[in-house]
Amino acid sequence: MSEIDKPRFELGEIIGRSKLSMPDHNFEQLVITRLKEEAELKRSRRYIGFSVVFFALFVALGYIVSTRFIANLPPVAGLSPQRLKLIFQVIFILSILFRAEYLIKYYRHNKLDIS
Amino acid sequence: MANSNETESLHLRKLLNGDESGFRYFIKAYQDMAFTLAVSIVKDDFVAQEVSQDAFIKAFRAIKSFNQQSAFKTWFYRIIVNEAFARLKKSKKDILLFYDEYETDVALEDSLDINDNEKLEMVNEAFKLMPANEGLVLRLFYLEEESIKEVSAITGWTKANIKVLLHRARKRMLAIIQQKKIRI
Repeated sequence: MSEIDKPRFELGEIIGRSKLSMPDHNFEQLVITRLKEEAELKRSRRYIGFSVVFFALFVALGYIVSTRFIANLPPVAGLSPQRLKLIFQVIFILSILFRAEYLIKYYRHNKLDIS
Repeated sequence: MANSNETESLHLRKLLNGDESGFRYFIKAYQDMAFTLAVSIVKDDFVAQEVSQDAFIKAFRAIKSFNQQSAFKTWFYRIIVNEAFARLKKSKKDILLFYDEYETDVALEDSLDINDNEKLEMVNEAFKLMPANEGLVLRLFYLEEESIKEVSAITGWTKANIKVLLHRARKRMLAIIQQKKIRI
């Protein structure tokens, strides 16, 4: 270091010893915990992404099956196509409700984690 | 020094592999300096701890983008400095120049009849009364013994600007301490 860079300064030596200590002795653990929480949250977000995609596929396929295919089926076990369609649609709607509830709960839980 | 660099490289590899001991090594090694630099800028212990924590998280998250051309220290200090200035900008609370009249050329050792610990305490107090940029360059230059070039790499400021800041900071530090001494 040149003399121009470092002229004599009375307090230089004292500043050289002025490093402060981190007041929180638990700092290391705090950072590690936060890192782990962030990693967990990242994983959760990936899972919820998959869930939303599969949910959308499920709804689309269910709609196609109930509107296009069931009406063209022959009677099965004495049940007319109309009745089959009704049974399928009841199961389909219940499944959608359960999955939607699950997704909403999951999404809210993750939102709480973020805050 | 070579040994220390090897240890750091070893832990850097661990860090890149996601090994927890690598994270712990860097937190232990740099937490005090992170806090010291942050407090030089934000002037508040609690905020400085938050800034340090955020800086570590950001650094670890971005560790794969660290190209190892510069030292880890330089790269990490730059993150702390950016984080601390961002926090300062948010709070809009930078120190106004309370000590603009700093006409002093008196050597401190001659003028202050106090021991080293008291001087150290006064210096740390004086840092809290200095503008963020001046406090930062003084700390980097004298505490970390960084060259003007390295200070420039950490702060992103020009070398000429850093020299001016250093000159002002030295004068201001002396002036603050002289005035505090009068009050004692």
